[in-house]
Amino acid sequence: MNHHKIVFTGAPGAGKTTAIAALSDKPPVLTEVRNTDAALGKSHTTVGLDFGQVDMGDGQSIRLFGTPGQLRFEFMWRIIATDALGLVILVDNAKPDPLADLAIYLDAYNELLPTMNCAVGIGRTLEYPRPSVDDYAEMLGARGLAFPVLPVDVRRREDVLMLVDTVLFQAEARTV
Amino acid sequence: MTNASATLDIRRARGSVIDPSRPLRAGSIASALAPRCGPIVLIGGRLRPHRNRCQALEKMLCDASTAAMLRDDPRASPGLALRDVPVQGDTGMTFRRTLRLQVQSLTDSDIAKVATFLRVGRGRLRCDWEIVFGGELHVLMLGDGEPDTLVGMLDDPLAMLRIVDAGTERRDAGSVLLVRPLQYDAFIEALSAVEQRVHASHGAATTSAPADVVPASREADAVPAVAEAAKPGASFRLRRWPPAAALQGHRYYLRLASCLSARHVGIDELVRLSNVSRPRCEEFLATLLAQAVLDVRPTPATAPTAAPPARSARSASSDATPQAAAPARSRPLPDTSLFGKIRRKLGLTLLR
Repeated sequence: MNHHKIVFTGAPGAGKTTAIAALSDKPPVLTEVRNTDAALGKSHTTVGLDFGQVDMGDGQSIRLFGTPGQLRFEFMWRIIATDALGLVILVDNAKPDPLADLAIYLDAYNELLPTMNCAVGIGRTLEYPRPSVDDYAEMLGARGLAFPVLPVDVRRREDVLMLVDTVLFQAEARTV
Repeated sequence: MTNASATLDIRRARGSVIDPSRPLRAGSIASALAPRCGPIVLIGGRLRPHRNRCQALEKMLCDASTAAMLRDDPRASPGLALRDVPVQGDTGMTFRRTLRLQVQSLTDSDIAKVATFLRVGRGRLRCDWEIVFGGELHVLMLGDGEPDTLVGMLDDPLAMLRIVDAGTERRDAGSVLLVRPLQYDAFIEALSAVEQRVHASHGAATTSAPADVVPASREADAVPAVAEAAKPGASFRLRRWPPAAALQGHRYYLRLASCLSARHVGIDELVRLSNVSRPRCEEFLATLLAQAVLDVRPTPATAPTAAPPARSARSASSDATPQAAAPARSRPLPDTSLFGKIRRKLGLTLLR
């Protein structure tokens, strides 16, 4: 297999498109359209998927996929994540109930998570410190999950890389 | 050993005593500053009630020893230091973290002064400080005119100190400027500020989530537990992701926790997967055990695996375990695994 897949998922506005753009070798392919849902609070939103790629130079590549955030596209989430090397769930802490946002994605990926290499990135924790990163970890723990939970600013490539690194370490541990 | 409960005894190895209940006089410690007098030992581990007096003594020791050192040989160590020695049953000693001060483009004289300041000021600092010239760092100390980044360094240090000549008009955002000749108080205060930030971040977590944070004593108590749990065959897995405060102890803790989040991992395997030294791994496991977030499986999870190939770009870290290097080669092999390629491509090796 020459191509590997890392999937970025999360609620609308969590930063999936930005995170992919931070890593992709080329400008990512986007399927954004004008947003008609005022509740999302942004002008455009992804309706298909975002796609970026990191070419490793030897015929192998890492394909970066971003899922559409809106719940009505939930049927696509698992399709995109199947056989992924890792899954990154992004949460916007500025949202009214970010823990509930995370719960939606944990439920949606419930069947995949026990064997999935996964990390959770919490955005805008400086402006919105509650819930804390530990609150998220506790919530995951209550579900029997011990995924890395990190505060991130997806505009910073280093932060996105840190998330990916935790996913890679999980993947490496599982493949031994 | 002398009972230190009534008074604080500051004495030389030869036995002369400075009575802390009387004002400190330069003459009373002059003999202690003889070049070959050996360390000055502060007996009792009870610095706090005599904080001001100890700081004054530190300053006098430092000024005198630095002068003596610079007069004779900038690289020489006069062997003077305040050491805090606990008496039996004394519970005043606290767990001390080690922070790394990387010096870059400093003169030998400046480095010698820094070393002396750290040695003499140990009692005033809450952490142990180690001077390093590369690898992992907590604080970066630069000579004037040097760029404020190092090749391969993506992580910001906790603080950046820059030594400038007196009269230099320089304003660096994010840097603490120290003026030559380097002053003891200014230097120690700069490091103390860093320590306060480290402890404040830990303390904030303590305030917000007291149940999740383990006092140092509990952490220390967990070390024997780890030794017990780490008997051959034991393996570990996270029950839940550790509290954020538990991951702040070391930059590699995130890496270790990630490995432990996927499946049960034995300690040897953890060392190999993470390329972090065994003592550091044990220390982290002790922290996790104390936090009760670790599931310990006493029987082998997997059969022992063959010795792995060495991994590239990991040898820069002082924590890079010796076992990870191919013993027959002077240079590590590049990591040709899929994960090695991905990390190289993404530049993640620089983060390690």
